[in-house]
Amino acid sequence: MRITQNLSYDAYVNDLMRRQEAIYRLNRQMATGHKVNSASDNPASAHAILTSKSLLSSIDQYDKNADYGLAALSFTETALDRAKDALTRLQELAVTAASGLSGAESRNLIKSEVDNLRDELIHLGNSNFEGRYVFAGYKTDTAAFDASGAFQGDANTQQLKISPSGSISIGVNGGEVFRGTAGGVDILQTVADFSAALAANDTAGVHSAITGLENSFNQVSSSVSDIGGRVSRLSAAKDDFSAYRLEVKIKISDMEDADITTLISDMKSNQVALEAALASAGKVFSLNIFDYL
Amino acid sequence: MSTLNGIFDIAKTALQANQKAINVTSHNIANANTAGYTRQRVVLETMNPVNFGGQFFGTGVDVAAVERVYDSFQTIQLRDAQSALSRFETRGQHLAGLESILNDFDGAGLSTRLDAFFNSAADVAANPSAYGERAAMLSNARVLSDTFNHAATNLDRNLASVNSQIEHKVADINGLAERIAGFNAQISSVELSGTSANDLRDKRDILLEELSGLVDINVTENDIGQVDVYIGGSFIVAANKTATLTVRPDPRDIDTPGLMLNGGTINGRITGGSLKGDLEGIAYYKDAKERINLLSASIIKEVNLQHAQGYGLDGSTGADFFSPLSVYANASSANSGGAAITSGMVTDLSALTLDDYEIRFSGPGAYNVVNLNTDAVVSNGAYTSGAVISFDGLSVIIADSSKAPQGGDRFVVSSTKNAAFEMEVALTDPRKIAASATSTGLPGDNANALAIADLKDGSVIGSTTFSQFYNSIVTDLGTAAKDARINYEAQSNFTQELRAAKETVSGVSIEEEAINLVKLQRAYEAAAKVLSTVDQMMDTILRLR
Repeated sequence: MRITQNLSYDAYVNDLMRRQEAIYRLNRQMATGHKVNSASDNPASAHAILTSKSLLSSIDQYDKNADYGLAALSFTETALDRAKDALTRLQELAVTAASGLSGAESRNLIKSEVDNLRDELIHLGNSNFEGRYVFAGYKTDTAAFDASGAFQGDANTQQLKISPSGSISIGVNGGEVFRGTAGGVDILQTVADFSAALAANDTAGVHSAITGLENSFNQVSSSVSDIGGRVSRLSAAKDDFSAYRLEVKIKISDMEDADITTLISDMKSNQVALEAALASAGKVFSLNIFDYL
Repeated sequence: MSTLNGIFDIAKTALQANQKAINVTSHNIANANTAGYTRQRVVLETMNPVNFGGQFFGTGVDVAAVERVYDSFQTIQLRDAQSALSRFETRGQHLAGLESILNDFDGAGLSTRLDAFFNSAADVAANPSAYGERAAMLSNARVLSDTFNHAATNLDRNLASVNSQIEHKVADINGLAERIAGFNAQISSVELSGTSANDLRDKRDILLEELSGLVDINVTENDIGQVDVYIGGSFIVAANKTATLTVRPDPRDIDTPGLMLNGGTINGRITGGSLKGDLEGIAYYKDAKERINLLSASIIKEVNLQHAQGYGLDGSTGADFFSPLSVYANASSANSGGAAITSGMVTDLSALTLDDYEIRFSGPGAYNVVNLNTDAVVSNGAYTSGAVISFDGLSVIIADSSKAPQGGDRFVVSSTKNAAFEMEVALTDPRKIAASATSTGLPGDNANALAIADLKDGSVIGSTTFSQFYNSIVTDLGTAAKDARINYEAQSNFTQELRAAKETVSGVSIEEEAINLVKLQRAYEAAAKVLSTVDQMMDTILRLR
């Protein structure tokens, strides 16, 4: 084979370029920390990475929804817990008022406390979370109950998504809890009746209030446990999210992140090859026939 | 008869031949680095001997020819390899350009913004009465629209730049053809006298290789040394005549250039060269553009349909979230009639297919509307100038302009053609975002916001979600770009080997020439020595008394 000057120079230039390109690509991976910097670096992984990243953003959103739901539900739960306290007190008052020792005067004293407690129940029914009345259904800008205790909201509850197919209600129907609109006990009416019985010194009325208030307490109580159920569903979902998120992140990292150890050793071997090529080029090119003729 | 004068003559031929050989050697050395230069070689031969006294005596040396050390098969192989190489190189460049427009690995791509938009709809669902979440949703929608606008603008700009590159390349091809024809004329006239036009042939080979880098060519040489050059089976150079390659846009598709040679379109017959790479690049750009347009049109359609069903905080309903899709209508430039589309609009968004349509006239008074994606005739009727033609949620008006339409006239109607470029958020007031599903359910009703957020996971384009559809665009591009790069690398190695093989045969070796130079110098000195010896012999004879 005849080897001409052009041939050997071209070959050296090509070899050097190839090494330089390999080093450039490795450098880019080192700088970004990613082995996939564009889809063409690895089309199969690229698709999986993009899909997983989109999935990750969905998970983050569901997680955010769950956080919001937890905040709203625990606020509602606190309000209902306080309603339970008020009802417990009302039950005690009813028992006191029902005893044979109570006369018209003491029943009148009890009545003023009962009226205060009824106002507190209405106040709790108008609980406001971040500017929204939580018991008012969709009418979050209107107080759920007016001063007389009439329900002004609607029967809807807000739904949030915590998975592509699963949603969860983060509201409580105020009408149902406080006024028994779905067939339960009308708590505010029960308390009002109790108060009227006290005012009229109506012993039979006071007696019937005891049962009514017990049922009222149970109604609020079951609503609280219902919220508790949803809270634990959301907490479980959040645990799932963090496990799932970790899994997806590991998957993305496996596909996308460059392995620094491999990179450095590849880089080193390319550097050595480049230096060797340069050194041999220098030796060969310094040979000159005219030094010998 | 062997005479002293005869020996003088022999020495003279030796001096002359070696001098000519040194001339060729110096020419080789001088052109050692000249692109396309083929080393030359002197062919020496003995002169005719003379018969003297029954013996043949030699009469010296003569230069029979100065020839190129050349393998025509290598040249043909190299040209073909060059065509394939520039095809892959050019295609790879276009795909790299496309990839940088639709790159999603820097965290600022369309897929990220798509997710952000639908996530902000979910935030509105979480807190439907809050102003902040609503404002954020509008701002994310604007960012998404901007991203589509940028992508569409960049795709259009690159498409226009490929088209102008093609025009420049066509001009280059025509220029090269002219020069090749010129060399054909010179070479044949030089070679008629029996000599070889070495350097002219080298120059013509350079032009042919340059031409084969632009487009794949077939070259045949006739017996008087002229080459005919064919592109896609149609001649562009025949002896010293040329044909002109011209560009004419496809009448039905303004983005695709039609390459015309000798009256025929040769687009489909071009298989190599950077021109082929450009044509492939255009196809990739157009495909990406169509898919991006389809994606943005689908987003606009689905979000607007859902949004119009809901109610804003102020009770407004039926409002467009994104500006409505515009209808692109274009009369084919090949139409022989004089009708024009005067208006086009989307009349029923829910009936819209997002397919492209063509209104085809079978005669001046009758038309068919054909869905170009399915090839089905969706509507037909009798034509009245200025009457509304309605089909699949679209309505257009065709009216006589200079004259009535003729049979064979075509009009393209598309609701997606400008979707990405024109995408824009129509709502300005965050309070008008229709999060509520009922007019009475204000402001806590989030059902419609949930439905909008749900579009993210819906099978909205065929059987895929928005982000799956977009990811498939990016992945397809990546696959094509990787293929182009692998092909380019393989072809580049192959071409280098061919070049090396050609260089081995035809390249100038400085060592070889230096040694030749010494060899020829010695021969020249020896011939001179012969001269001076004969001169002394003459002197000896003349001094005899």
